[in-house]
Amino acid sequence: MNYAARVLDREFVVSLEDRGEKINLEVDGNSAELMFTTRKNKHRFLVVIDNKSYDVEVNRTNGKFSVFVYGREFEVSAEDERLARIREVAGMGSDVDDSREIHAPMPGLVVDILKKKGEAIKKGEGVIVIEAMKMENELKSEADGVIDDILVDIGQSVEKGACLVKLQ
Amino acid sequence: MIGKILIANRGEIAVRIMRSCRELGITTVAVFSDADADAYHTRYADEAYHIGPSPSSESYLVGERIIKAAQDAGADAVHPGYGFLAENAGFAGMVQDAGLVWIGPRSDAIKTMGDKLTARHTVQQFDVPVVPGFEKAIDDIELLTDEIEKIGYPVLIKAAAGGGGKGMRVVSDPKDLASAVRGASNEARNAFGDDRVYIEKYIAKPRHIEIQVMADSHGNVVYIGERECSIQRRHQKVIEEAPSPLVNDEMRKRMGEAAVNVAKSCGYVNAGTVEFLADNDRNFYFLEMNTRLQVEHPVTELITGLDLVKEQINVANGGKLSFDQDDIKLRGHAIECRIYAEDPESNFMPSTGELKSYREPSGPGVRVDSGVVERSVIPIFYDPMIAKLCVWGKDRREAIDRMIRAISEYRICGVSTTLAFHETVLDHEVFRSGDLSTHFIDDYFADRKFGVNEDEHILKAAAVAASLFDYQESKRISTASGGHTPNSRWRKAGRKAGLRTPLEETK
Repeated sequence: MNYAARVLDREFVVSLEDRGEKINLEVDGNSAELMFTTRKNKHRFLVVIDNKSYDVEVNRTNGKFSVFVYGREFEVSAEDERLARIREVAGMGSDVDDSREIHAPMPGLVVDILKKKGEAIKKGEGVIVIEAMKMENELKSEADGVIDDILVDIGQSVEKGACLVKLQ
Repeated sequence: MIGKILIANRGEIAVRIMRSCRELGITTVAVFSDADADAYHTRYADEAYHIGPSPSSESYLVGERIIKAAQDAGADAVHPGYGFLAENAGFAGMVQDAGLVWIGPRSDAIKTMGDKLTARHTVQQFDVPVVPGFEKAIDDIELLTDEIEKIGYPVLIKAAAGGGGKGMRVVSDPKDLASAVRGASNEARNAFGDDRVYIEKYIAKPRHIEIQVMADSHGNVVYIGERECSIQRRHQKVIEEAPSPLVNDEMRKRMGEAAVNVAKSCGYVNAGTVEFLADNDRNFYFLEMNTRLQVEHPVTELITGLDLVKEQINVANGGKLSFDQDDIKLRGHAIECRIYAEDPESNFMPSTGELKSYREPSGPGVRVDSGVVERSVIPIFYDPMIAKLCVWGKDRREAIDRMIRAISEYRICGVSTTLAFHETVLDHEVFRSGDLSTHFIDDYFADRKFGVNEDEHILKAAAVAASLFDYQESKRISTASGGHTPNSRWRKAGRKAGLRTPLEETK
């Protein structure tokens, strides 16, 4: 089984092959010695790769993985390499749908809207300001595009996860 | 004698206060909102009283409910912690009117220091240096223009009732003055219901250094060293340390004596903090006095061996300070990192949710003040601080290295945290050199990129871990009907070949 795994800006091809007594590991074509523990809590385990020890915790959220290792939580996408390749050929990013909408990361109050319908925006540009926990938080676009629709007004309370803005 | 204390607060500070109470044999009473029914401070206390719905305006900020809880519980005293009602002179008065001991300064001292203009005026009578500026709120800008020229641009416009950066404007060019005053004034009215603003000289590269003071009702006032809190985001402190890398013995004595004078200027009793701005020439200027226990008090405790909460209770009880100025000896170096549930790379946006996994660091020289446990939920209603991670080292260098080690042990899953941010800042060569200023984050991390230089092998491990997890999950599903449960803990991975279906075939 080959996985295309992406962490930050790095992509790895991780091959796992069950050999009965052990699982063979190759990363980007280089084989490595793999050992790991299984515990009652399957989310937390110890991985030893070429005798380097990693105390990890893996959680799956929205089709992606959050991996806690070395004091950091990383978002990792890991999928069947063949599927990833098909997607690539079809010209679609794996998270294409996520970035076309801006959602409220927390419940709060819309205090400012920085863009207008029809306006072009770049990835990383602020679109909407939400007040929560007594602080103002600017929500940024995760993609380049044109504002297709703004679904909220200033002064409106929004629930966590509510769709606020749609991009074309 | 105080035998039972109600803690009018939540989270880590409530737990911190209860710990000292427990050591003193004092019974503790927690108050909690709906959101905190299962919170750690509610569990830790000997008794717990529900005081209302989750929003703090309907619970932790409702003085009457807290006093009723104290009376129902038969408490002798109320400790306010920090935030919420801690610096509310009206509440301090209500507590005392109800016949309860208030573990804090008298309400008139809170009132004097609560208004920045009054405080500025009061401390100058005691020869405490203040930032050059004006003693009264701006009414007519035209009349001020000449006088501002004398102080020299840039100047800072500040709200009299201010705090947290609201109602603040820097003006470098005289032609921007009028609109800046208008803007600051509007913002101040919205934030504090008070539109008075005043002008101070803008200190270009300021350091935030504060002095801990402790006063009893017998006229003794002692300064307990300084804390440097220059590392800030959103005008709020995130890393504090004691002693300050800037302050030497001579400066400490000058600042300490100034702080004692500030305390005396308002007849201060109990623990308080006098905040100063300082420049690299070791000039310092009074900023404000915080009339409560500070968030960052643990770093002072670590280098002095004192328990400030116990001393607060002693003083509130009418006791004399258990030490005098000569007893205060600073030993080693302490640092505190405020670990927030925030995403530093999205400009510190709060992140709420459940702590799916939570394990605190420990080992030599580590102290963690927290109000959470595994599976705790970070609610949306309050400050998103998870914990204060503090370390002590024999010198600043050891303290920094120890903090980085402690951060590497900290496991928090389920919410974004500022752990990587702290590690990146602590390991920055300019931070290590001690050349700090309140603009540090904006100067060196304007792009808000923290911890981008990840080691390749860690990224690789993360990729392998996620892939392995998915692989095992798939196998678990495909063999679920087999009823085979492996039990051995350490083993070369894999199941018996006959029980497996290769994953490719199941797709």
